[in-house]
Amino acid sequence: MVEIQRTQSESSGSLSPSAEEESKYRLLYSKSKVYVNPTAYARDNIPGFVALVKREAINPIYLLAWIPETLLCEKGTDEWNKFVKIEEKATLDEEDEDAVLIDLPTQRPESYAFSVPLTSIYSLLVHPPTLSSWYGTIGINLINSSTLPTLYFHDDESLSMTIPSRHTGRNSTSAYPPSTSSPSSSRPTNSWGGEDLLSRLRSYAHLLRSTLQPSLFIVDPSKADLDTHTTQIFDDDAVDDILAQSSYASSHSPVPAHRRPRPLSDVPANAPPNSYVPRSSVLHRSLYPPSISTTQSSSQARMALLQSFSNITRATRHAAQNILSHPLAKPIVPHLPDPVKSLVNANGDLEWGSWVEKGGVGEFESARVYLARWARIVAEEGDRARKREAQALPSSSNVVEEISPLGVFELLHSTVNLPSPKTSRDPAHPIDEALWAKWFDKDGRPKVRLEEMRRQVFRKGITPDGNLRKKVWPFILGVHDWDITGSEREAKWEEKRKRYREIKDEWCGVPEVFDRPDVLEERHRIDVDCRRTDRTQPLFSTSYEDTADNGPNGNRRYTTISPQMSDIGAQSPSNEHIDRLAGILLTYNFYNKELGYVQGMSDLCAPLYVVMGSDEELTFWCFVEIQNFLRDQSGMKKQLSTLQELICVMDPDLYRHLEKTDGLNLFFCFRWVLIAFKREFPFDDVLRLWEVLWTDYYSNEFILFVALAILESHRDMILRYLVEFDEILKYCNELSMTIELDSTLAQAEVLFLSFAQLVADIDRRRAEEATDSTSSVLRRRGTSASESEGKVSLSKIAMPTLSDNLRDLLKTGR
Amino acid sequence: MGRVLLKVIILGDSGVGKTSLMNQYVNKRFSNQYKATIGADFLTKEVMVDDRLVTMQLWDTAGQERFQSLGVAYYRGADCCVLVYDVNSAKSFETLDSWRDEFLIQASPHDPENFPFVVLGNKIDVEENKRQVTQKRAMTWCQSKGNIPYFETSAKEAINVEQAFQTVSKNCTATRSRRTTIDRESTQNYGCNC
Repeated sequence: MVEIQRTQSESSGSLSPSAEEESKYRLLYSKSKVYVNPTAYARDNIPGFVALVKREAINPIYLLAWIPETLLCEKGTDEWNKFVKIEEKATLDEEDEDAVLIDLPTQRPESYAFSVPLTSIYSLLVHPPTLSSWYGTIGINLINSSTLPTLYFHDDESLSMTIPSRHTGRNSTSAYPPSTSSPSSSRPTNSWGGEDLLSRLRSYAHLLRSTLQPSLFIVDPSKADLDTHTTQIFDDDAVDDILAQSSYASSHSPVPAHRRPRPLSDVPANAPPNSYVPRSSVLHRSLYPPSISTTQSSSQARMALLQSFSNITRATRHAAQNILSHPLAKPIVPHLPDPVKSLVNANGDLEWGSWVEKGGVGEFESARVYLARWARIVAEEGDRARKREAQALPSSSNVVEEISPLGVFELLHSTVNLPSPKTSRDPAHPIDEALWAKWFDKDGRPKVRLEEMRRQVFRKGITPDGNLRKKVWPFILGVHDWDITGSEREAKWEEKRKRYREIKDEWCGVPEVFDRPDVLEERHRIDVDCRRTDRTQPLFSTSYEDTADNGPNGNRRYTTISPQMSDIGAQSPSNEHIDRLAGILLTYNFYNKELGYVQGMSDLCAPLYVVMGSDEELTFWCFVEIQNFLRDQSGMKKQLSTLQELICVMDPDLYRHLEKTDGLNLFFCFRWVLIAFKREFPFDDVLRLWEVLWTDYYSNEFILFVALAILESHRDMILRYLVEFDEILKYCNELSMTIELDSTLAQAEVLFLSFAQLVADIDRRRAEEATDSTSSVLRRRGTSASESEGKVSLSKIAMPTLSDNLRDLLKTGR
Repeated sequence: MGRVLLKVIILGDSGVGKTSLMNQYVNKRFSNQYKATIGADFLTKEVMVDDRLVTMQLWDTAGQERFQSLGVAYYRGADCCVLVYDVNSAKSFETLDSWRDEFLIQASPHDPENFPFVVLGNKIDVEENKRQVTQKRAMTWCQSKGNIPYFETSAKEAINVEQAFQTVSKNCTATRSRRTTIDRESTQNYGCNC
């Protein structure tokens, strides 16, 4: 309809004829008010246009671009108007005469602008708006493993999503040449801006929605991707699919159909929602994966096959092998992705074996827990395979890599299947002796601020080499003061040593106290637990029986706290260090007389004892600092209830699922929180985790974000397979020793930043509503209410009320 | 489908061998590396009772008394309770009373008088001269509580473990399926403002 002459672009620069050719970029699609959020603060958000651009050539290149409004303003109103115009234009026809040519959207990292060929995009991470995050997002992962700034679709401000007449008027009357297969016909059903963009993208690239991770769309998937992301062996419907011999692989051309436009009809617009995981928000509806055709004839075979799966509960460790060698399973095996096949064949396979051995349990509780675990392993294997592949690929040089902190916002609903988020952590370069020494001047006074030290520990951790942790931990924990000289510190420490001796002397060598019934009872509790804590650590692994210094010499009566066997029954043999560990805990009993010994204390104290090189005083005072126990467990109760509220705000779907499964008490997180993941990670990882937690860098309760990160990593498994409280408990307990620490910490950091941003957003909106109650906000709501169901629910979203507990999560420093 | 699930709770003082007994019964193995149980966990085992295949779910909880407040969530719907003590520790035997009482309060079964318990005196593999609780003393107590079945076991040596749990499964076959009959109302709700 409107021809915008090339002169427009020519006038903006002195281009040589060849460069002129280069500049033929046709704007195919644009959408306004798509934001990039460089920081956690809403005030820093940058509005811009997302655009699809075609480079005219014999082999045209399609580019996805984002241009900040400011950059477009610099280019003048004409350029701006082109974008507005294209956005207003509902339909697309490439052969249309009315080509709109623009300047090449430039790659400007400092302004976050980007333009990348679709061929360089590996995957899109799509999160539709939910009740708590009302702007849907799309994250873009490039083939070279880098991540572009996550795009936030502010549909309430965007022209194309707020003008009601456009959808109803122009499209339904088909004034333009759209056919049924044209993307435009489905436009009115696009509930949010990101989906609108996706449906347009489908015209230029094949988007494969992953069955492992529904928010993940692979762009022009490779064969390997297809295998990993389409086999729905865990979906109830998959069985029908396989039996009907209609696997994706057979219907799909073996040659990757690069750049071949695909009709949108690939995806039924009204695919029925997955009945097993009902998404509550209407905003999710249109994003459902294509349903798989169900054939009546296959239902019998389906039942039989499902039955054989359910028999897994009865089977032993070779259950899966047996089942997959079952005649009924034969047709399935060829369709299994390679990772699973390797598991199937794996008689002595390390992975399989270690998985079966996990938790010392060889028998499976229910088919659901079993399948959930299997799905997790496949997803993890797929992720590793993808990473390997990404490493093998040469990074495409025409894409300017942009490493910005933005990537961290991409995965509120992340899973193990995603590339590692960008995080501030750098655990590969821990603080070493040299760096630590540099932070102090000659007289032992620090040259860096306490906060900086904590920040560095949070980011890098401390080297396990030498005994640096022994030096640093007392500073992180506040046992040693920071801003004083070495000699002042020495004097203060001497006082603490003396104090420890005094407290210990209340029971040590004082028979009338030591053998008092209540003390005896505590000794019993402490001793029984210390004898079974970290016995694989060298210090604790020996016993009196097999060491030369055979126990009961003259003074052992009062240096060990072991009661008589008649009091504690038959227990594992003790040793000198176990006795001293128990002595520290008994002394703590006299230091904090209210509390008494609580099971789990030995788990918290033993690593301190090891790191402090069996120094009693240091262990004791560090232990005092990390003490988190209260007799009535009200401390735990508060933490779990805060975690519950956090889940409610950050992942309402998961919250509702837990509600349905009686899991809201979060008892499956009890062990995690009570002993700070001591049982969930190998000993060395526990040390690395703890020093990060103690920095209180982001939050005094960063541990809850770690818990949330683990739950989020497994949310899809939980939502899909685990429908009873006990199943979730079992699944979580058995995650022990399978969790990858650094990616979990990275995700916890991302979750914290997202949470902080959410709080900032809510506060800003509250403030806006308060000052602006009668004007535009209400009007906007009025318009959208008449528009579509999706919009109504989006605008009617009640902002979550943030309790004091939740706001306290933003507090740092003790 | 009516798959029968029997829920069994194992209680007793810290360190008497609850985790060991459970693992010996289900996994046929013993380790002296078990740690103090934090929170709760369970194992399941398929057993034949009266020619029917049923799934037994054995719940292992923390032995320290102060964690009993969490019991409500785990005890509800229990079909049988196994009380464990260490025959080498008089104290662990003497606390059986309070374990039993506490269980009945927290689980609040429909018919507390006739709720099935089984008592296990564990660690009989230890030398006889260390023994603190005689068989006679234990059996007298069991009789006084309505003829509770009593077994002397060793999780380490796999003595009597199978027999004891067979009795457990038989005794809970005042059979009911937890999934169908027990009302699993929401356990605890901290409330949320969303």
